[in-house]
Formats: sequence, C-alpha cells, structure tokens
Amino acid sequence: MDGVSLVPACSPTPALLEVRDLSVSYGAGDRVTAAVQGLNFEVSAGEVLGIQGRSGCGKTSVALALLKLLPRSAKVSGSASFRGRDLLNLEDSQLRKLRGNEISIIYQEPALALSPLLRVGDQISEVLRAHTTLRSSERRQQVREILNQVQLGTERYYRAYQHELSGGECHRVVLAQALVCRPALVIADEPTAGLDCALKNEILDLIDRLRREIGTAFLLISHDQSVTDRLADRTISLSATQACKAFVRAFPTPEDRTSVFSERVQLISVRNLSKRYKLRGLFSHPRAEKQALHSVDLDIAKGSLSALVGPSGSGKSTLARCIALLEPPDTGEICFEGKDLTQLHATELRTFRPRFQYVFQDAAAALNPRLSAIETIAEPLAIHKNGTREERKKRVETLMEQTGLDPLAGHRSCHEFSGGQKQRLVIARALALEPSLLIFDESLSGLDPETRDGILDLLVSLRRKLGITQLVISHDLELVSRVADSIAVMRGGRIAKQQRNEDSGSNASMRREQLLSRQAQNQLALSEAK
Amino acid sequence: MRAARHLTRRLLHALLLLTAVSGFTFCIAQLAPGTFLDEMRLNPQISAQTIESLRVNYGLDQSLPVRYCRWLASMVSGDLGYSLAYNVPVSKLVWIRLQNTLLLGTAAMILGWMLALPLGMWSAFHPRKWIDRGSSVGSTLLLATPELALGMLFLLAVTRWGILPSGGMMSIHSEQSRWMAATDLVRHLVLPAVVLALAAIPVLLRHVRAAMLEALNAPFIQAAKGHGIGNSRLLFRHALPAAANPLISLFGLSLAGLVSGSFLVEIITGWPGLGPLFINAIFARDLHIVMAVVMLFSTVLVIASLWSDLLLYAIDPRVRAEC
Repeated sequence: MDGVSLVPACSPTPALLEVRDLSVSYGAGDRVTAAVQGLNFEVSAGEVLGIQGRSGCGKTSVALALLKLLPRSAKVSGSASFRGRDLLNLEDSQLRKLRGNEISIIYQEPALALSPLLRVGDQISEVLRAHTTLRSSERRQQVREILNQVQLGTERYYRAYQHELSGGECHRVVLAQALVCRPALVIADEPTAGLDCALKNEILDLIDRLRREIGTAFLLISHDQSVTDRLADRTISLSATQACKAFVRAFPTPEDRTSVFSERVQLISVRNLSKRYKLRGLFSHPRAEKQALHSVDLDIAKGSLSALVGPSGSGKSTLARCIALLEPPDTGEICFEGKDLTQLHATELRTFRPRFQYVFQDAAAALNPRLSAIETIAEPLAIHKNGTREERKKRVETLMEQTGLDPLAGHRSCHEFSGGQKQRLVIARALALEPSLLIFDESLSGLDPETRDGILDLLVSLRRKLGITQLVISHDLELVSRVADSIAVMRGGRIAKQQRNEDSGSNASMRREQLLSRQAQNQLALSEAK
Repeated sequence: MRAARHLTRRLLHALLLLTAVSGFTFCIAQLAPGTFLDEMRLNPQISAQTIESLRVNYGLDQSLPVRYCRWLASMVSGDLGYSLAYNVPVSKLVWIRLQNTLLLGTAAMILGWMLALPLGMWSAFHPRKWIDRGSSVGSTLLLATPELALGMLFLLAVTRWGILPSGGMMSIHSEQSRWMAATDLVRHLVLPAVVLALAAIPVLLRHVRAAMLEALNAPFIQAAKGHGIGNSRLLFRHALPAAANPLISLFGLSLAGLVSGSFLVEIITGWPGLGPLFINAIFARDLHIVMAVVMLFSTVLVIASLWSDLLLYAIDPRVRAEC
C-alpha cells in the first residue's frame, strides 16, 4: 500500500486513535503476501474517518487488526495508540474489556454476525453484561432504549431471532449492538454492503444521526465512494496491492455483435421445455406443485454472449440447470450439435457434461478451502486425465493469465483470495476443460461495482479471444445489456422476450421489457412484503 | 399448537418405525434355521405325538401372517410371549434384566458424556495445543482397543488389587441396611460402567470437538468476541448451543452404541442384564425372548431419538421455524 493519500487533519484536538506504520501480512517464509503496508492515519474524538478502496486492498484487514481479531496466521506490525494505550500490544484481558466497550466493530455481513440461537434483545444485552455490572432488568431497559434509537422499538424486535429479520433490520440490530455501551470509536466495515439504494440511505442517515446523538467517532470502511463522501469528515484511500491486476476495458464493439449474428449458427436450441416441482411430505399427498418452466423456447448462438434476465423466482436458474444437464426437464427438447440431450441415457450424457460448465453465484462456497489455486484449477483436468502433470501445470498457468490472475499466487490457498479473485478462480476452473458453453448463474451479484466490471471485462475478452459461448443469468438488465449480444427476459416461467441487443441505449422495445421486468420485480417485492 | 403438531407427527413417525422393526424382527426370527421343537425332536425320550401337540398348543401350526398379528397384538398389550426354554412368561424374565441393563447403560452414558463434553470443548478451544493432541492420541488408542480386551484388562486390574468386586451385581450378605445395599450396587456398577463409557468416549469426543470447532469458527462467535464477551461466556452461552444441534442427534445414536456394547460387557463382568439372557436364548432357539429383547431395545432407541428430536425443537429456533 504505497499510494496512501492523506488529507491533513484540521481539528486541533488530540487524536483518539493514532495509527502509525500499520502493516498486515499473511503466510510464512517466502510465501508472504502483504495485505496492508505502512498505513498511517488518525481519528479525533467524534470524527468520521472514511477509508475507501477497491475490493482486495486490505480494508477489512485494517479493521480486524486494530482489535486483534485477525487469525493467527496474520502478522501485524506498527503501532495503534488509543487513549494512550497501544492496541497492538495489549494483553488479552485488557483487550477484552476494550472491545465492544470503548471500540466496537460492525462486521461486513450483519446476518452472519448475529447468533441464530439468541433473541435479538438478549444478544445486545450480552454486550452490556460483558462490560457493566447492571442487573438484568436495567440491562433490558437500556437495550429497549438503544433499539428505539435504531427505530426497532417494538417488543417484537426484542424477542425476534435473526432469521425473522430482514436485511435492513439486521443492519440496525448490529448497529444497536455496537452502540449500546456508548463506545468512543466504532469501526464499521462496509456497513451498507448488500443493501439496495433506499435502504442504504436509511442506514447512512441513521448512522449520521446516532453519531451526533452519542458523539461517537467512526472509522468508516467502504469500497463505495458515495458512502464515504456522504458521512466522512475526511477520507483516505487505499490503493490495491499487486495481486489484483487492473484489467483492460474490453466492452464489445458493434462489429463483434454483427459478426456473431451474421453466421447464425445455433449452439443450443431449447424447444417447449417444461419443468414442474412437487413439494411432498411423508404422510401427505403432493402438497403443492410449482410450474417452474412453461414450454420455454430459447436459442443460444455459437460464440455469442447471451443473457437471461428476470426477477427472482422467474425460473431462470431452473432453465439454466436444465440446459447444463444438472436437472432433467419434464418435457421438451434441448438440441446440441444435432442431438436431443433430453433423450440421451445417463452414461451418454456423461460425455457431454464437460462441454457445459456452470459458475455459481457464491464463488467462496464453490471452492474447496483446503486446495491451493493451482490444485483447484487442475482438478477437472486431473479427473479427466488430461495430459501429464507438467502439461497440466502449464495449462493452469495459461488459464490463470487468461482470467487475470497472477500465476505466481497459484500456491496460495483458495480462501486467501479476495471475492473478485475467487470468482476468477472459479471461471478459470470452468475453462479448464474447454467447454462449449459457460453458464454464469448470478455470478455478478454480490460483488462491488469495480470488481464486477472487471469480471464483465473478462467475460467479453473470453468471448473475443477464445470464442466461448456464454450464458449470463442476472436480475440486473442494465448490467448485462452492457455486454450481451442477445437478451432473453423471463417472467413467471416463460420467456417474455428474446432479441438481439443491438444498442441498449436507443432500443425502445428493450427499454419496455426492462420496465416490465422492473414492474414484475416490484410486484414480487410487494408480495414478499405482504 | 405448532409444538403439538410437531409432537404428533414425530410420534406417528416413531410408531411407524416400531411397526416396521417388529415386522422385520419377526421375519428374521422365522427365517433362522431350526426351532426349539426341532431340538426336542432330537431327544429320543420325547414322542412325536407330544411334539405335535406342543406345536398345536403353542399355535405354531398357524400361518405366518396370523402368527405375526397375534404376536404383535400381545406385544402391544404388554404380553411378551412365553419362554419355551425357561417355561415362564418372557416378561417375568425380561423386566428385571431390562432395568439392570438400563441402569448400566444410563450410568455409562452419563459418565461418557461427562468426560467427553468438557474434554472435547477444551480441545476445540485450544486446537493443536497439548490438551488437544493428548486427547486425540488417547481417543485413537481407545478406539483401536476392542471392548472385550478393555473389559479383560480392567477385570485383571481389579482382581489383582482387589479394590472393586470383579463381577456380578450384588455381594452375598445375609443382612444389609438399605444404604449398604446401595453402596454395594455402586461398587459393582463401577467396573462395567467405566469399560462401557471408555469404549464410547472416543466417538463422542471427536464429535464434540468437531462441532465445537465449527461453532467457534462461525462468524457470529467471532463477532461476539469482537464485542468483548468473555471466554467462558463465549464458550457456554454462545458456542455450546450452536454446537448442540449435531450433538443432540448424536445422543440418540450413542445410546444405540452403548446398548449393543453392553451385551459383551455384561457377559464379561457377569452383570445380570439382558445380554447373557439374549445370547443364551439365541443358542436355545428360544425365539420369543430374542424377539422381545430386540423389540424392547428398538423401543428404547426410538424413545431416545424422539426425545432428542423434541430437545432439538426446544433448543433451536431455526428448527422451530421450519416445522
């Protein structure tokens, strides 16, 4: 982290937290990877300091290092003095008294940071119990007050479990948990991650109000500049480390698109595909049936980048799973190279499976944390006994380069990569068997915009350089219309529209579909709210 | 209301399971070659007419489904049948022995969990420290030692040093106060219970450790740590309930292990439980005792798993939400 830009502090009060030369590195021996290098900053009492930087640049490492919450494999050096004490050299017992009481932390994913087994009120009360000598009735009173302050005042929320809360409510609860002991400093790691625009604004307003009411200083960590701009008095930005190389912008040109459609060779034609799911109990008749697909027709041109768009529950994943031969459809046909795949026997299907590769939404869950990056990518090659060990190694290196990963980082374990890099790893693994079709199931959601753009660039460059046909599934029409050659919109298990994406900006009919799709999404949101 | 529905559904499942087990037990017993009367036929002093009249008397001339239905009906009413070898009703033989076996099983279970739970939690809290390595080596050794050898080893030690009675359930004394009788029973219980518990501990320990390790690595435990919650509170109030889910399921399974293990240990240490009776009955082709014992054990297991299901329902709000 050499490029740290620091706006000079203008407040004359002594700093609450003063961080000097903070470095965090992972690994041992010659495999050390630096996450943060020589970081300096200070936070005054009551101030909001924003730390901004793209994914993978070590923001979360900074947050966890200050409270010594990093795993033991991480090495932290430098100093962080807080009210005259060096945080990085505190004893465990002192550290325990300080955490949650003087400095609290808001984790990136509030739904995971809440225990599924304790009531919300009790979880907040636990923090008070750890740091005060209040009796349980007094604690309950204080918990009610803080819940009131985060606008979850009713008794229902006190007694609720985490799984009964919505995303926004979880954010409010962790905020209450962080503030209940009136700490001097709150470290907020991506406090608005995963929220839509309206909810994000609500939470930011709430943080702004509470920090004025309570007088707490905030260390606000976010990849999103609008968040830090909105709340922070000052902002420092971290630049990315060498591991995540910048990718050349490679959005498709009109020539790319016409070349695809001039040939008009279909790789896959889906005709009249239907699929219904039965929900069944042990003692009961089929309780309900869900028609996931109603005789769907879809064409995917060879070498094209097609997109499948629709609100959640519209059957787009089911369709993709049927095409990828992961699930048998009830009726209909899937034609691939002149063969109807639905008629094939299981053993015959097996020869086709490597031709279709599927990239799932959650890259972290799709990777085995015990394997290194090289082992991960080489695994499909090893299973299908492609080439010798040496040849495989060469192939893995090429694949890593093609997907924008540093081959030198290949020995690192999968979980040491950032979110965007994990997605690239999964894509590299999918490419290993040279598939005819790559399917991305919501692989772009849950990534920060910069990382997502990087992955979009990758998809376009894969199509251009390797000519791989791709099917991208997303709920975000605007996003995929930037890269897709053709877009199919799904609603309620039917293809509402499939057409070429000639120029997304001026195409009126596409905009109408976009509107329809949004309406459908709103209806869905409404029905969920009910 | 919801709880009642859950309970009824679970009870129905349990009944269905027991019926299936009864059918299976009956079939297996009938498929076994040779019957009690076949053995009698080998005796030249008993005439063929006597055996034939016994067959009719015992209802063995009826068809299989009829016999199954009759047997099932009498089982449900609590009549476990008639022992051909001992010439007494099976229930008279079985009840007192079942109590003894359950006493031994419960004692071993409590002992096993009492040792495995804290040790497993401690190992998980300090992974790869000496306590973890020590318990891992110890449990591997125990796992590799057969119960039979373990029992023999303890028996040898006990007889050599004479600290504990080497077998049976009671000493022969003409007069005993109630207190004396109780301590005598406990002294006799120690040996078989310790052997049984030691045999069960490795599996329990490993499961406790794995479940706790997973719970302690969960993000919400890391978050609780970040809120400054103390170690013991973190361990018992936050992590243990989260780890309880697989452990409660294991509880029912561990009972099964203890029950089957207790047969051998009872025979070695002379504990008057169901084990010796069961083995003798098999050799004597005394099918009613065999079937009764199998059914009783199945009932105990089904009750244990029912109980663990309900416990899970009470402890985990996520399970409640699903039902």
